[in-house]
Amino acid sequence: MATRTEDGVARGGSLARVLVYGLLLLAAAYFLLPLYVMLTTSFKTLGQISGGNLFALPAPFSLTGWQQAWSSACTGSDCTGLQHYFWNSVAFTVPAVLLSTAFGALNGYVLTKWRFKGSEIIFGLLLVGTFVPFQMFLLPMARVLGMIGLDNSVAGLTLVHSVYGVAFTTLFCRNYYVAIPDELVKAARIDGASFISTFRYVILPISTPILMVCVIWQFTQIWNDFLFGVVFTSGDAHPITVALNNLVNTSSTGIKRYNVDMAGAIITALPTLVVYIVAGRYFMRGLTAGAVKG
Amino acid sequence: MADSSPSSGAMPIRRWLDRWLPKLALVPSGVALLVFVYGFIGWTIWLSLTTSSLLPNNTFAGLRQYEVLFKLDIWWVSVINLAIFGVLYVALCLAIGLFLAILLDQKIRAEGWLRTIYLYPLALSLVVTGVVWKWLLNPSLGLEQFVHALGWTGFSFDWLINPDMAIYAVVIAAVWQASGFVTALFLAGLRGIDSSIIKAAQIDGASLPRVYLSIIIPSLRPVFFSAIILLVSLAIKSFDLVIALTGGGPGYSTWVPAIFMYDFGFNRGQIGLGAAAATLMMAAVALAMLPMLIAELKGRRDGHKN
Amino acid sequence: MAVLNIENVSKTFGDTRVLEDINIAMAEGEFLILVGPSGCGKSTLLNMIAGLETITEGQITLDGRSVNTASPRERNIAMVFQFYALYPNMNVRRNIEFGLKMRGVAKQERGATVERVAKMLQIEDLLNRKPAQLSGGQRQRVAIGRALARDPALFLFDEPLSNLDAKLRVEMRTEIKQLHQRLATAMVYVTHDQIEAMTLGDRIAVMHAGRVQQLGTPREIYDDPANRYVAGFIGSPAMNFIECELIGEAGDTAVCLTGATDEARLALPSATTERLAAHGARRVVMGVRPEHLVPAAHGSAEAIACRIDVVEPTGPDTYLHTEINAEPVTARCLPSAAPAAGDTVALAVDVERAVFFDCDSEARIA
Repeated sequence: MATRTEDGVARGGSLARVLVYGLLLLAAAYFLLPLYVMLTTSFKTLGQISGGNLFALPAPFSLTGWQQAWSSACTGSDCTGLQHYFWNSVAFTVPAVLLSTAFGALNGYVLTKWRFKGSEIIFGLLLVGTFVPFQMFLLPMARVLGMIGLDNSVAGLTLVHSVYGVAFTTLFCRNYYVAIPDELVKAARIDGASFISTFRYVILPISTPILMVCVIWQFTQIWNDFLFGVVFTSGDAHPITVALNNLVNTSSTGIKRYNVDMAGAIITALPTLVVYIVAGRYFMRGLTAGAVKG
Repeated sequence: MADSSPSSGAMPIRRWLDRWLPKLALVPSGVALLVFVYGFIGWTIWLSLTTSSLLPNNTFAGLRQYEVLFKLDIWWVSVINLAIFGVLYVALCLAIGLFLAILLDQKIRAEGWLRTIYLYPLALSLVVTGVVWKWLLNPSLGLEQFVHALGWTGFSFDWLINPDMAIYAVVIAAVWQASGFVTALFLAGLRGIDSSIIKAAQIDGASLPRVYLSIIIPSLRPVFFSAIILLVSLAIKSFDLVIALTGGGPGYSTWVPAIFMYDFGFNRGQIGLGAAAATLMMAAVALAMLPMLIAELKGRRDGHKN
Repeated sequence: MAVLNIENVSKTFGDTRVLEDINIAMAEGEFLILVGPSGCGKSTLLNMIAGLETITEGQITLDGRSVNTASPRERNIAMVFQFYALYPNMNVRRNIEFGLKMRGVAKQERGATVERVAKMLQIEDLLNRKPAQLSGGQRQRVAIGRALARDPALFLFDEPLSNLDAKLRVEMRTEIKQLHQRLATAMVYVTHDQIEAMTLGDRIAVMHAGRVQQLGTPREIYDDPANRYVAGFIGSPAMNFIECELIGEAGDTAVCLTGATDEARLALPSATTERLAAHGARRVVMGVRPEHLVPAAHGSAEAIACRIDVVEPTGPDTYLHTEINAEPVTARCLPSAAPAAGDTVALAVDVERAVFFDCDSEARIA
C-alpha cells in the first residue's frame, strides 16, 4: 500500500522505504570507505599494514606515519617531509584567494551597476575564457614567468592563480550583483555617493554571502591545484600537492610506507576538508553557480 | 551647500573620476584577460604552427606539427584513452548521480548528512584521490588482499598494473570523486520541479516509477545538459588524477592528451607538439561547449525581450 | 524663475528614440505629474532630471543653471524610488542621514536632521530598525524621510506607491499631498495611475510614445483633452468613443446616434458646429464621459433608446453597459434609478460637454 507523506505525493510502502535507506547507506559507505582507509592506515605501523587487513582498526595506534610525513619523509632528493611545502601552499594560496576575490567583486560591481558600451563584450570574453583548458596557457606563461623572474617561485604561483581565478570570481560576483536592484545604486548616487563610496558603504556590506562563495571556491581550487605547481615550480618551491605526489613516488628504502603516504594525503586534504565541513553551504553554492540555471 | 555650485574647481575632477573610475577599475582585469587568456591562446596556436622544439622559435611551419602529432602512436593512445575514460566517466557519473538524487528526493530523514558525505570527495585534491585509490587498488596489499583474506584466494584485481585495464582504474577513482557532485546537481533540479505536477499525474493513476520515467526525468533535461558539459570538460582537462594514480603507466597505457601536452611541451623539449596538443584540447572543449553557448546566447536574447 | 526647465529634450537608446522634444517648465512649489503607460518614457525623463541618464538632445536647467553634464550629486535634488531602495545593511537612522554624511555634514547636525524628519513622518520609534524589519508602508515612509533630510530644491518620485496595497496607497497619497502643502517644495511625480495623477498634481503631463501629449491642470486634462489618447487615458470608467456621421450645414449640425432601435439626431451647440465645419470631415469620433451619458428626462426629444446589457453598481454610482452605433459604451445613473439588465432605457447625451476627434489622426477637432 502506498503511504502519503505531508506533501501529498504517494510513495512506496515500508519495504520500499527500507530498500531506499539501505541503498543510500551503501552509497554513503562507498564514499566514506577511502576516507576510512586513509585515516586508519595513517595510524598503523608498517608491520600491521603488510600483515593485516585493509579495513582493520590500527593496533597498536602509531603516530609514526604522521611524524614522518610532516617532517622527515623524502619528496624526491629532499627528506624533510611535507611541512615546508605545506607553508609554500599557504604562502601563495592566501594572497591569490584575496586578490582574485577582491578583483572579482570590483569587476562584478562595474559589470552590473556601471555598465558602459562594451562592458557586456568584456563579460562575454571572460565567460568564454573560463572554459579554455589551462594547457593553452602553460607554454606562454612559463616563458613570461621566466622573463619577469618569477619562475620557480611562490610569487609566480600567486600571480598565475590570481589571474586565472579572477574569471571565476567575477562570474560569481556578477551573477550575485545582477540580482541586487539598480535602484539601490541610483539612490546612493542621488545621496551623493561616488563610485567608490557606493561600493564601500552600499554594495560591500551586503556582499558577505558571495564573498564567502568566492573565498571558499578559490581556496579549494588553488590549494588543490597540481598542474600549475608541477609546471611552473621545481624542488623547493613546489606546492604541497606536487610534494605529496613526489613523496608517494619516492621509495628510498624500496619499501612502500603506506602509513606515511596516507598521513601525507590527509595533511594535504585537511585544509580544504575543514573548509568544506565548516562552510559546505557556500561550497555547494559555488559549485552550482552557473552550472544549473533556472 | 558647497556642492550646489558646479563651477567650483573641485567639481570637474570629481566628475571626471565618476565618469572614468568604473572603466579604470576594469583595466587590470581587462588587461590580464587580453594578455593572459586571449594573448596566450594566440601565442600557443602560433607556437603550434612553428618549428619550436627545445626552445620556442618563430619559424613558420604550417601544419607540420599536427602532421607529426597524427603520426605518433602515443598521441592516439592518449586520444583513445580519453575517449574510453570520457564516455565511461560521464555515463557512470550521470547514472549514479541521477539514481542517488532520486533516492535522496524521497523525504529522507538524514538527507543533509548524506549529501555532505556524498559531496566531500570534491573538496579533495585529485592528487589525494589518486594516492588513496592507488593504495586501495594496490594488488598486493589493497582490496585484492582483503578478498583473499576472506577466503576467495582465486580473486585477482590487478587493474593498476595491467596495461589493458589501468585506464578503467582511473575511471573508478574519477567517478568516486565526481558522482556526489552530479547527485547534488540532479537533486537541485528535482527540487525545482513543481510537486503539483506529480500529484496531478498520480491522481490520473500513474505509479511512482511511471511518474519518474515519463514526467520527472524528461523535465531534468537542462540538468543533464549542464552536467554533461561540465563532466566532458573535466574529462578533457584531466591530468592530476592520472599522474597520481598511475603516472601515465604502466608504460604509456594511461596517457591522456593533458599528459601528452605536459610531457612533450616540458619534458621532451617538443614545444611545437605540446602546443599543437593543447590547441586540439581547446578545440575539443569548444566543440563540447558549443551547444551551451548557443543556448546561453539564445536565452539572453529571449531575456532581453521581456 | 522656473525651478526646473526642460527644453527640447530628446533621448535615444541605440536606434530607439524613447523621448521626443519634451518641453516642460515648472514653477516654484509646483507639484508636477508625469503620467502614462509603461514604456512611455516617463521614468527615463525622471532619471534624466536626476542625472542618472544622459541627455541626447536639448537642455535641462535646475534653478536657472544647465545641469546637462552635472552628476546627481551636483544637482540639488532628492528622489523616492518605486522599490524604496533602502540600504539593507543600514538601520533607518543611517539610511536617512546617508546623503548628509556623503556631503560631509557634521554628525551633530545630521542627528538633529534625522530627529526632525523622523518626527515629521512619525517614524521616531523605527530609527534603530533595519529595512527588513519594516512593513511596506513604513519602508516608503523611511524612503521619503531620506529624501526630506537633504532639504533639496526639487523632489523626484518614481512610482512611489505602486508597491503598496490599495488601502495603504490611498493613505500615503493623502500624506504626500499634505507633505507637499507643508513643504511647498517643487515635486515631480511619476505614475501610471491616472487617479494618483488627478488627485496629486497641480499640473499633469500625459505622456505616450515618448511625447508629452498634453500638459495642463487636472481640470484642463479632464474636461478639455488635447487628443483621443489623453481623453481615453484619464478618467475611470473611460470616456466613450462613438464614431458618427455629421448631418446638416454649418451652424445647424447634428450627429446621428443609433441605440437599440431608432436613429436619434442630436443637434450640436453652435460653437461646436463652427469648429467642426472648419475641419470639414463628415465622419468624426464623438467622446462622451459616462457621467455625460445619463438616463433622459421623460419626454426628451433627443433621447437614444438603448438596451442595457450589464448593470454594474459601484456604490455611489451605477454604471450601465450598452451599445450606441454598434460600439460598447458606458452610461452612469443613480443607484436608486438603476434599470435591470435587458431593460431598454432612454439615454441622453450632454452635447455641451461632448468632444470630437478626427477619425484618423485622433486629434481633437471640437
